[in-house]
Amino acid sequence: MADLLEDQELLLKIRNPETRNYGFNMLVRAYQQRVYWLIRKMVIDHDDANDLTQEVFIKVYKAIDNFREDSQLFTWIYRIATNECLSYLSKKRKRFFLPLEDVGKELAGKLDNSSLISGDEIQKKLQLAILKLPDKQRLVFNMKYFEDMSYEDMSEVTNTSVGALKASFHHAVKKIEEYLESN
Amino acid sequence: MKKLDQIEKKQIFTVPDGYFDQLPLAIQERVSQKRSISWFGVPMLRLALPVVALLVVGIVWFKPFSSSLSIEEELSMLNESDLIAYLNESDLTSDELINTFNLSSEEVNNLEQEVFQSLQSSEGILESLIDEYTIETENF
Repeated sequence: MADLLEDQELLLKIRNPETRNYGFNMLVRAYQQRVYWLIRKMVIDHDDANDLTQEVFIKVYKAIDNFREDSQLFTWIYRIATNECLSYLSKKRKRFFLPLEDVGKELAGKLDNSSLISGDEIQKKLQLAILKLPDKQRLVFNMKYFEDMSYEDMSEVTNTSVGALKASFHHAVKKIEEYLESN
Repeated sequence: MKKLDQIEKKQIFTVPDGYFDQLPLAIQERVSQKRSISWFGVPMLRLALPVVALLVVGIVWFKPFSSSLSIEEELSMLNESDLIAYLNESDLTSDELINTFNLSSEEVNNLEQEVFQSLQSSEGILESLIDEYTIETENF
């Protein structure tokens, strides 16, 4: 309820030309971390996540006047973020012409080489296992496992049925556990 | 088999110090930059006319073989996204272009009409340009 009231306040401020910038600034502060971490878990690299996060909020700014409030503000913003992420990864995959190289390997490489990634061996192994999943399934897994999002909210974000999401998540868990067992 | 729930949930990714303090400012700055779409204070629509004139003259002068196509037909083959990209990169002023090619007022009017018609035929581009023009004139 508190979130809903805050969202309504934010929207009122943004839709008022005199307080638009202030309201949008408040919106960014309210949602920046959730959006950033969602993206960061997908693209691994901080600089890429930073660029994509900024793009997401620019798109939010451009589209906020068309937000019909038939969904929660956060699921609407998340939808933009997930689309931006999947689009980025899809374009990246198309750029890899060499059969031996793939995006998964590049992302896995960033896990080892970045100074902005800490964590023990098992945590890194878990991330490597997650990277083996297809992008959409990885997204579903991250939202459920790390953020404990409800299937209903995930359904709004991804425009996928609750049943399909449950199946996807459980299949992802199985694949990850098999990877951890064999590595 | 190692079960997932046996592994502690940890955040292994970190961010530079102060990142989330400066992120809203960075975003606000980019939003402000995107609002400012006119260039040297000249609205984009006014720039479209002389640039189209330049391109049409260029096609007529530099085409190696004579063409049976009229200027209107040539113009209709131009890609709007190329025009827009050219606008963003060119540093010519509208006065320089009009003076250089000595266009009559009738020719100017005809070209202006062609530009608007070609923009209207592309879904959303005219509306988008008008929206950006309107935003540019607002006070923030």
